[in-house]
Amino acid sequence: MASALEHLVGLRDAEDRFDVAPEELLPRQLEAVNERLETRVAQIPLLKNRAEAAGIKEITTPADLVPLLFAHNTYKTYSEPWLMERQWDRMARWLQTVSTYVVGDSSFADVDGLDEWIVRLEREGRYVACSSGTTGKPAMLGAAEADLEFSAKAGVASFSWATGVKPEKDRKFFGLGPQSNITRNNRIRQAMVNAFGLEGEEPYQLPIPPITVGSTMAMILLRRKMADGTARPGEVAEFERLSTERQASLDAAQADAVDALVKAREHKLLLSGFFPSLYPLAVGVRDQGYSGKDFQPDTALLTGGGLKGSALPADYREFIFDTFNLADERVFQLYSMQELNTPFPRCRAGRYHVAPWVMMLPLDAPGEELLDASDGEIEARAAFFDLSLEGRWGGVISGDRVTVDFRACDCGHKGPTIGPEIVRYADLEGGDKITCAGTIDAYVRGAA
Amino acid sequence: MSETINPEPRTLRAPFFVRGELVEGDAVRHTSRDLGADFVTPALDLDKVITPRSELPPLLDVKLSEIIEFLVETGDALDLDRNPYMQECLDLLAATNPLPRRVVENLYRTAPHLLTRESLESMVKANFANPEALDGWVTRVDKLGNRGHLRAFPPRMVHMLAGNAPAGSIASIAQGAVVKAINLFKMPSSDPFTTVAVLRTMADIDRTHPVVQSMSAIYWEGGDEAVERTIYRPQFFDRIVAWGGGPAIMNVIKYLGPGIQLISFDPKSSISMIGREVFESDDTVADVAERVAADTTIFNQEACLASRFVFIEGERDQVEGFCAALAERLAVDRPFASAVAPPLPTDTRDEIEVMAAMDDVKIWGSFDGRGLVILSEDRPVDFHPTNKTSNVVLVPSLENAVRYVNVATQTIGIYPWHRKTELRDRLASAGGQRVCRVGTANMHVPGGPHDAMYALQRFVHWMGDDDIESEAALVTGDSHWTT
Repeated sequence: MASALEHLVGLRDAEDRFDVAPEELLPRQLEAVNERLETRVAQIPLLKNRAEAAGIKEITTPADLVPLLFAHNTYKTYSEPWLMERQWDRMARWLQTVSTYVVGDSSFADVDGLDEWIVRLEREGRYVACSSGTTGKPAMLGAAEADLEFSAKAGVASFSWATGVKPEKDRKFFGLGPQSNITRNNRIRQAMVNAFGLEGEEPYQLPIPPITVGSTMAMILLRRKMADGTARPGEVAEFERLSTERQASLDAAQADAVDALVKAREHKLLLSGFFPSLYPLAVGVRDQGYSGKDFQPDTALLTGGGLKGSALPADYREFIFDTFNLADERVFQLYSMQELNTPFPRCRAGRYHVAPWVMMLPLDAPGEELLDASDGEIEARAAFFDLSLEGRWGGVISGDRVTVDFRACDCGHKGPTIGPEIVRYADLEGGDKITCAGTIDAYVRGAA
Repeated sequence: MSETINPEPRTLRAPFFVRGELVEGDAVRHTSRDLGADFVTPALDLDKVITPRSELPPLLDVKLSEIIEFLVETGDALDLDRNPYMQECLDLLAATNPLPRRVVENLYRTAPHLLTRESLESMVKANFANPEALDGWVTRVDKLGNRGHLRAFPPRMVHMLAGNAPAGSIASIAQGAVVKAINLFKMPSSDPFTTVAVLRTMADIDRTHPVVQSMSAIYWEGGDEAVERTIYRPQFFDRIVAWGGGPAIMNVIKYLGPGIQLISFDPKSSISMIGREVFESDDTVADVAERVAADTTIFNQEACLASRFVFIEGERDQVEGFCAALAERLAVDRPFASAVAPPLPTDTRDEIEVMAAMDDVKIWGSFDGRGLVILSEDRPVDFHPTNKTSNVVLVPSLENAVRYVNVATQTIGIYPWHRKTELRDRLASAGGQRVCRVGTANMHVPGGPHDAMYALQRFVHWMGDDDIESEAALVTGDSHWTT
């Protein structure tokens, strides 16, 4: 008989996976969490310390898990100077401390740069994903081969669940945002192309060079040097030049994408990109005199996240939808994070559904106490235990404030759901803070 | 987030004070950013709080000596045991400010010392070569007999008060008064009470006094465009004085332009530097550990002058002994610090745990707010130590540690004292702003600069009046002239 863990993770493609009542699931989830705890304590040093400090050997209620959850910042706890000083062995030891990675006999002493370090790890079957963003220190998340496989398959399956679009290889795929060279993201993309992409038609990709983890990190390290005062004026000027160049090449690429979209209008389309990337393309398409009536009636869209701080007009959504002949039911909007394997698809009622192999753990704002959600919808800091994770500990506390409801959703499905209003606690700081205490980070201009 | 609703019975009330008048009301509800408590304020009538330039400043013809007299009297009246406004504030602040009540109480008891005659007079003397320019026009004569008259004319100022130092408004009120400014105090959401309490105390002494007539204290949510876009104009104000950094300052910067200047006391961190001499005896180790602990815990480490990093010379085992002694002293109750401060944020805790699991650092103390010492070698940790956390960094020599000093480094407490003299020029060159004997970071000799500035002379509007008697000056260039 399959263990609780195997059973739950095996629900990935099950038709009714988003229709199980939470109380029915809980005993199995707890059993599966204990399976994970037993193996991971021996593999992840940080988890071992946590479990020992809290005196936890077994999980009997969801609240027992809270002291064992890793904050999302755990994956940023390496030291930036190690990268500058090329201490790749030390980075590997760090990765071992926060994941199931085993350094063993591997030596990275001769590695030349972060990108090469990542390539070398991949040769050992260890995949490091790096969160985007050039303002702060990126998270580095180690994953196993099985995690990439799972994420890719779960992506396809939840896309179909949410949109009703079957994987029938009948759409031209358009990757309309900047592409990264992160293996995990590329696998997810490739799985989408394989499942839905029109045979004989090359998938389109916005023609700008992929952003490498190394180049993202180089910008972050330069920011650090600027703060230390060790960056020479020539380096700062070079940085400014690269930023300008990047913007110019993005403008050219967007013009190319507009032409390609117009040309492909006789095909069924599957567009992929965030709204801030899509908006200028919609403007470009309109400028050429095309709009919704020129596109096939069942264009589908894969998107996620919010507006990431960019300012779009209030009617941006309608404008994009009208331009490409999009309808709400064929928009796959997901909520997830690099820290998890599992995407949470948005349903017709506009809520994100948490998969049965993921425990939804609503916490108080500081992330210390589990909240009681038995009386209906509550506001909480989102935390999860993703049972599918092989390469890391599945328990993670996010930086997001969400609303959670464990009652059946208006769309008719059972299981916990997350409401559409998702904000980062970091963005809630507002403009009101004033304090005399602070660091040199407030003094760095540019490089943001 | 502000909205107009009826207050519930237990809501905190934060009245405004506008040029001698208390303005009460509950038209607007706000949420305090630190503890999330709600408070209500009256509606903000901008016409009332902005004095048109056609009106001369009320303090213009009041002698500095008289202003100081009034401030000294205010200092006496602020005595917490006799002052009902300040007593009430203590209770109110418990709901909005993260500092413990006892620390706020001690601040209220000590801050009035800023209003002693000695302190006020040294402040004026240190800032102005000729303080008479504050009281009237002073004249200088060049060798051709041309006379230049000068007045430190009162400015129109907005003071953006910091949220982490509840008694800081007393210093700002004193500064605003001695430069005879027309003052608008923008109170922070973590303390929308103290400034009004101090001004009410002044009004009880003499509501019509020109000092009182020059002061208004109000609240709006920082970043509220409807307010800030309206009032941050050179037609209304000459100077915005900001105590601290953070998003509030980034908001203000948008409105700067010709005629309106920002005088900013930027966000700062402070450190300690301990020479190997500390290990000469067990007594010196104990004494210096206590001194570092005293500097580290100021306002539970919420203050800019609280030490966060200790660069230390010595052998590893000696330094470990010092760390243990420091951790013990961090846990002590002090006038401006609690034995148990709020615990460390969980993300910082995670970071420390990972470093400890990798054997990169060794730790003493606890994560529960009693104080934590993190020993690292050669290099400080990546994060900003808070909540009574000290990162002790073992360095080969203090000279090596200078590279960790930058323009954000405010106070550097040093042991032994003679090393201070040896290091101070290099520390200044790196950007540091003040050295002191370790253990005295929170004590100042009156008349000193703040953040490497004498701010008061930047507050005033230096008005010149030139009587050119000899046209020859223009030809010879003996008197300077500009376009």
